[in-house]
Amino acid sequence: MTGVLSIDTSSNWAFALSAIPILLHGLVVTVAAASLGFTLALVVGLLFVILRRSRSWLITWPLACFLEFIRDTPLLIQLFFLYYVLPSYGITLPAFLTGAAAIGLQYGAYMAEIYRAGIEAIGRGQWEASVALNLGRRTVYRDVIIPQAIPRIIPALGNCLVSILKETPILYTVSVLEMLNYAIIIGDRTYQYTIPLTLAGALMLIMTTICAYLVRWVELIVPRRGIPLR
Amino acid sequence: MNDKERDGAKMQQSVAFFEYLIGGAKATALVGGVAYLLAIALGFAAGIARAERIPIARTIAFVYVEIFRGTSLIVQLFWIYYSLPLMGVSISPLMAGCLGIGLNSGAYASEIVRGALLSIPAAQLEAAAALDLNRYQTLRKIVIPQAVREMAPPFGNLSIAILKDTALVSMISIADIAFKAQQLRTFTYNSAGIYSVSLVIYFGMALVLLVTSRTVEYYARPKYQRSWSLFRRAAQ
Amino acid sequence: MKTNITRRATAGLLLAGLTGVTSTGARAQSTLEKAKRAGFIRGAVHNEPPYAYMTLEGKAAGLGPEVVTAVLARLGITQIDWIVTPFNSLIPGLIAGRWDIVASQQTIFPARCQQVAFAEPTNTALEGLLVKKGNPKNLHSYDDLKKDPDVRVATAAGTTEFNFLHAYGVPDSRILIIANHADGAELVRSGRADAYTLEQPSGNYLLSSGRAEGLEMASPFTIPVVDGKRVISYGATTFRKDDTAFLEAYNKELHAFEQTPEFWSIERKNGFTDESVKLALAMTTAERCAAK
Repeated sequence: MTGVLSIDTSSNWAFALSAIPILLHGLVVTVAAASLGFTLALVVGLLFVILRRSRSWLITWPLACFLEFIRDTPLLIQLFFLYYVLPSYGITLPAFLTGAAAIGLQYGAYMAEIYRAGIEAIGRGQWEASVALNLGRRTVYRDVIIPQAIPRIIPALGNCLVSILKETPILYTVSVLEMLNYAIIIGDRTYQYTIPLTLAGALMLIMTTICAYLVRWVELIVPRRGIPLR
Repeated sequence: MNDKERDGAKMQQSVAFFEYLIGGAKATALVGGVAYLLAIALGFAAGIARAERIPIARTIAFVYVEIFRGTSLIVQLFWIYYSLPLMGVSISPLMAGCLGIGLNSGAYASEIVRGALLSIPAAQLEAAAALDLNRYQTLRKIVIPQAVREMAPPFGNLSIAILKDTALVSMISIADIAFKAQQLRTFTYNSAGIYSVSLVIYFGMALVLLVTSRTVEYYARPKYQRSWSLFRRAAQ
Repeated sequence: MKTNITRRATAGLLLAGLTGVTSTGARAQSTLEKAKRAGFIRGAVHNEPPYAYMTLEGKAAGLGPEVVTAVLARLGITQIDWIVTPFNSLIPGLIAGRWDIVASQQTIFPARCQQVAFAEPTNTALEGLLVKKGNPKNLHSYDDLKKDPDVRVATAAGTTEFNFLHAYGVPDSRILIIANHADGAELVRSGRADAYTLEQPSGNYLLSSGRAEGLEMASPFTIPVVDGKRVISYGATTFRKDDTAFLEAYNKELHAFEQTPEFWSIERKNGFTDESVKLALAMTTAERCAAK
């Protein structure tokens, strides 16, 4: 598409109007990458929190250190690491998937904390009642704890989604043709960066606002007392 | 080269990487530090403004916070770096980096401040009104000192978030750790080693920030509320 | 690098309130005069040996910086603050006033001539292709890149090679745009790209540097033909369009410098043959800008 860039630089408005379709093309990729990253993070986070609650300290301690390491180091470097280092171990994922994996990893670490906080927020009374009713560990989690935890953590997960959406343009650095990449390409061609970048920012703002409303809507439709998992 | 020699060579290489990359820590710390101070200033300004009765102040603060929290930091950095000079404002990459991260984090800081201000019980405000303190005095003597205690943990997390954000300034030619890592890769294609050492350096800096913020939280509380278990609490 | 940061940091923080003052108005003064008075000038390079690169010690090396340093010394400027930046931001940064001279031996290209001014060319180069050892996809020309629908080719952002690929009709979906020269070789080595477009001097430098295991330059290689002509790139130093006085002074000293043996030894040291340099000296910037 960039080869046939029909950018009209006659006036600012013409420039903006001709740039918007190109940026929208990139926005689709940005949203797709963000969604994939979010889904991966949800799953990876769940995995981490389950492992974290294991009884053996041989697992929990190194895992806690690993999670802290992932949370406190820049996503950019983690992304570069996955992109440039994995191929030498034989795993060459396309840039898009590598980006989603990096996002999934870092935000999975955040979500592990969110899940943990959600589970720990369930009062002791629930646990004691389950023991009194002689429910097995797995049943307690599946039917008592997690259904009550989900409504509480939705706002935090929603924040994660918005953050992921805002961090996705980082994939520009590994040549993923998403919105920021197109904005920079347009800028390089015309030496006018202000309009493409402003448009990219505006589009991002619209996306995050839509996302925020989406999260609030989910908060509303999820029953307050919990979602039964069966 | 047998295994032992190869491991020895790798160790030497890692040490060499470390020595080169740690030179970038200066720029990282500088940008991070300035941005953090800017964020605190903006956070207080915008956070208090949003609770003000003057609509202009509220609107400006609201617009600022929504724009900078709703768009990506990397887009903001590029905008400041590429667009401002085209408008005649000549700004060095370092200043662009500090400004970009400062403005972005300031928006988050304002939410922290606002949340802390709102958490002050209404009874405090009523008592202040009963004692005939005006708005400014209430804010300065009653509200803020109590709010600061609430703000300490989130501001600690913000410092680590800013540390991670500084890696992005490598995209606008600031010679920080990430930039030096990219430089190093031109001369030796050991990406694994270079990035690993970079991550370790960042983690080291993050640990320092973590311990500092927990210590500040510890001392911010009155003596009877202090507890060493604060240090065992995992980062949020 | 160290002094750059300290100087920039202190200057930046002290002048924090005065940013607005350094607007286009101040640039009306000749860049050369300002540089002479300040005692230093800001130059930009990207990282691509042997054209221009920064050594680990923080010194600028390569054909571009070495020639520019020598010529500017003749003009009375002995201190150059070098900044490394990706190739595609060299010209935008120059136009924006972030630096005053680009020493990357950028190819003189009509589209670029509309935005910036070039000094007289000081080197020529032919195109090449970096591929995996053994050239498994059998790529020997830009035509081969176009014909095979599975081939992915990496190219640096903002380079003329990008335009050549388009001229040959290689679709965007198969072009991997990278920001740093160093990434090109890595992409080919890891298999993410099947080829990396670069000029022969860069390729030869890479292969002789001993860090090119698993890579080779495609050989034989057919030089791309664009608009009926074999592509030969002429590289030169880049200036802002309105720095006419600076450019004139630079060209005068450059011409004088080209008569000295030091010029030729710099060229040879960086791997440019005498014949290729003579070709460059015989050409003028005006001709290259008007070409096509």
